[in-house]
Amino acid sequence: MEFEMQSQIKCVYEEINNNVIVVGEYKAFHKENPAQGITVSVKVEDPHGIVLHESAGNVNGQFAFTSKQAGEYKACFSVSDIQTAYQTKLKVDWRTGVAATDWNAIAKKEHLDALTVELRKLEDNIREVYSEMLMLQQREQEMRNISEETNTRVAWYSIASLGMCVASAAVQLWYLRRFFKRKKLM
Amino acid sequence: MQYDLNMYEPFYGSFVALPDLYSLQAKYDLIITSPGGTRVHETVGEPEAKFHLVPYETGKYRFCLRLNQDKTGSRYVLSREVLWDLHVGHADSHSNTNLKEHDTQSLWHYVHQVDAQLQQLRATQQYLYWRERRHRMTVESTNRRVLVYALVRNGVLVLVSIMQVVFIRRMFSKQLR
Repeated sequence: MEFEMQSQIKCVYEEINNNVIVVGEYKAFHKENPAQGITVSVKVEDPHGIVLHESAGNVNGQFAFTSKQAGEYKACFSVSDIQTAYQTKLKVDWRTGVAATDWNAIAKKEHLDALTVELRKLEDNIREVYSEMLMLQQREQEMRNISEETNTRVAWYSIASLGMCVASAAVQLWYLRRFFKRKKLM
Repeated sequence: MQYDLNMYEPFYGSFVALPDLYSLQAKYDLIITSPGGTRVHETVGEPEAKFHLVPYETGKYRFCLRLNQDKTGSRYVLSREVLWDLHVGHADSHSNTNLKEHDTQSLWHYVHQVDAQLQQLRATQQYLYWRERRHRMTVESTNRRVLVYALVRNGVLVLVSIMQVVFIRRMFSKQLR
């Protein structure tokens, strides 16, 4: 993915699950002249703000980590001043899970041919799909619970409002009767 | 954003726009331009959409997500959130491969097909996940609103009845004098 840095700091966010390998590559270069590199500083943070990777003054680089918790991870790139920012184009390649694992190394270690590697990739992909599906199901269940609670609340609060209305009418009547009796009008 | 894509590699993607302040929904246009300059895909004024395409040119594709000013209700918002996803599949190589792979040629074809379908599945799943998150925001805000409206309603009721009593008292006090 390539994009232009229109501001001094630009952050790329990615929602990542628990226990997933994450590999990122970045390269910063001049908008008009791709061969000319521009130094940029990187800061990669996890959902709680803990810095996982930090480097400054590089034209291109890599970072890799395994996620310890599910959430929104961000990688922030910043240039020295806003003038350079208008000229800079950033190329970021962020891979998680299946796309991040080093298939060449695995193929060499277990002596697998190309077809088996592809099938392994498919298998891992399907596993990820399955676990994501389970998570989605759980989230929908939570949402369903909230909806049902809202439904119940609407009913109870309406009855409560009606009750308040009737109660305030009764209090008014009682008070006014007492008031008029005291002023000897009734 | 620009992505480098190869010819015949199908890609699947989606975007979901989260609501702005006060639950107003922003609508976006998505325009995909090929390296040759032609607009290969266009979505107008949708808060969330899914797309897939088979590119016929190799090179840098530009994906432009732009706010649709006419259909969006809210202005002057400090920041907006859009969730974006893109998956790229494998290309079926149309060039001649060497003969010794001839046995597994059809097998590769099927593997590529399954992979493409899997990418589509993942893309759809991601889209549904983002949509669920966005719908969850609506549901939670409805829940909160119900409580707030009930409290406000009761408060106004009590206030109005007290005001009525006070006015009637004043009215009769004036009459007596």
